[in-house]
Amino acid sequence: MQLLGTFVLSYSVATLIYFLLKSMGNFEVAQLLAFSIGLVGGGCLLASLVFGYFSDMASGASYLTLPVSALEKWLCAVLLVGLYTGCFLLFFRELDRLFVHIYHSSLNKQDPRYQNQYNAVYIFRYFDESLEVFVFFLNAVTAMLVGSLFFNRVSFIKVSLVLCGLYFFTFFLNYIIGSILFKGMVRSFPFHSLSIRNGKEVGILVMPPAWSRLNDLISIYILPGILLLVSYIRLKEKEI
Amino acid sequence: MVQVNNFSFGYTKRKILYNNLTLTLEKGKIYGMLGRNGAGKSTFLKNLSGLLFPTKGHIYVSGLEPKKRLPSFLEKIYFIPEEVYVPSIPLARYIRLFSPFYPEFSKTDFDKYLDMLEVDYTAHLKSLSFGQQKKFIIAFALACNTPLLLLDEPTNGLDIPSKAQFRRLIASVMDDDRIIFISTHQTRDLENLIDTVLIVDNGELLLNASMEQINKKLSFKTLGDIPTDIPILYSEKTFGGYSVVTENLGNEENQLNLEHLFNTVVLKPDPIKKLFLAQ
Repeated sequence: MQLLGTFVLSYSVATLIYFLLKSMGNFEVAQLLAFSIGLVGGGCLLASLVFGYFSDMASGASYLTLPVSALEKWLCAVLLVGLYTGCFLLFFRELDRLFVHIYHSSLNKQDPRYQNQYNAVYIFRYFDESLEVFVFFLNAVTAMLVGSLFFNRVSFIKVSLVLCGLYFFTFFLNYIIGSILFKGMVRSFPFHSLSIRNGKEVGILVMPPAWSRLNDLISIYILPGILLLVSYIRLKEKEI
Repeated sequence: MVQVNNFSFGYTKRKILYNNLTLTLEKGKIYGMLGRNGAGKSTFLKNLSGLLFPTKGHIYVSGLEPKKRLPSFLEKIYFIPEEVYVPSIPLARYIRLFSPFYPEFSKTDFDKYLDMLEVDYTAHLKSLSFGQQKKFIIAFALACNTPLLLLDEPTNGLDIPSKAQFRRLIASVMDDDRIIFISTHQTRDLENLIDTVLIVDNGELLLNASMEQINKKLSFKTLGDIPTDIPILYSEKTFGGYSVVTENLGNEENQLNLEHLFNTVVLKPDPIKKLFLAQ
């Protein structure tokens, strides 16, 4: 019931955000924000609940002593998150299709700006426009799985705080190192680029392609893989 | 059979709860572990069920190590913690969902036990009171027919008639292939039920003896005054005299009082150890 509730809650929130932002006239932002919150927020919430048995001793004991291997229990949890993701992608596609269709239907075909208005709104392309969201989703969800096995109570909040802390720490550290290495640094984005002022001009220094590829490799495959492995080991070694 | 070899456990490195404990639990017996609150009874049960791992030493249940939590091990044990957990589903659905995990589960037995404990089969689990939920879990655990059944404070939360029902039920399900291990601090609930008493205090096993051995070694009497001619191991003022525990020198038949036994063992561990070591 709790898991079903998470599905319904996340889908409802995504729909509401999409509807409200679209009504305010910004379709692109509505699509991206509703998609990100539904996918990452819902996925993380679900990932924090799939091992939620450890919030008290009785349910933890019942879960750990159920005659099923640790691998099967872990796979069940991972598959549930996978199921959520798959269902959300299908749901969001249909929701998006519906809202875009309503928008296109509402346009006046006689209006000279019709073609421009029509082309301005289109169905959200998952992998072209939201690769960063998927990467963030993969890392956040796997971190949440690990965290829920370390924090027995309110793991969603605790892991979110840890992730926020790590995020700000990375920004801060990146800024400090950038300031030491580059004179006149204005802004820096970890693992991506930094802006440097040269007189009145501001130039952007982007990470070399090889390093960028390595960064992608780590964030898309290696880090989520390690976190998944850690969650399995932690479940196997979990004591209550 | 359960074999505990040089078992040590501590929640922290400084505070060792069990140190080098070795013991064997044999099939066909009901063991009662007595101890004060915080003595380590639940900790021991958790180690037997694989919820905690020994710091040193090994535990084997039918040759399998609990800490590995293999399905082949888990289907041979059932652990009922003091506070039970039931999901928010109807009772009948729980049976459909969870009984397939236990190959020896018997629906006929389950219906019989549920009937004995007076739990409504049509109920939704969350609508049951805590005592009813506990009785349901006890009935399910017994119907799983696991060779090892671990019960942590099973009578906590049960009303007086339910405690009697529980004792009757446990006595009726016992067979030669089963080990039932009950931990409690409510000694009265185990009287006339257990075969062997284990008493732990401060993580140390002070006594591991069968009821027969205890009756042979110790004498439990109520006297008008405290006798001066024999060494008294324990005495307690009661209505109309004194309850005393002494060494059973004359091989007298007597009625064992678990509460007094427990107090004797905890207060005078050394003479008791000496007495029981001299078999």
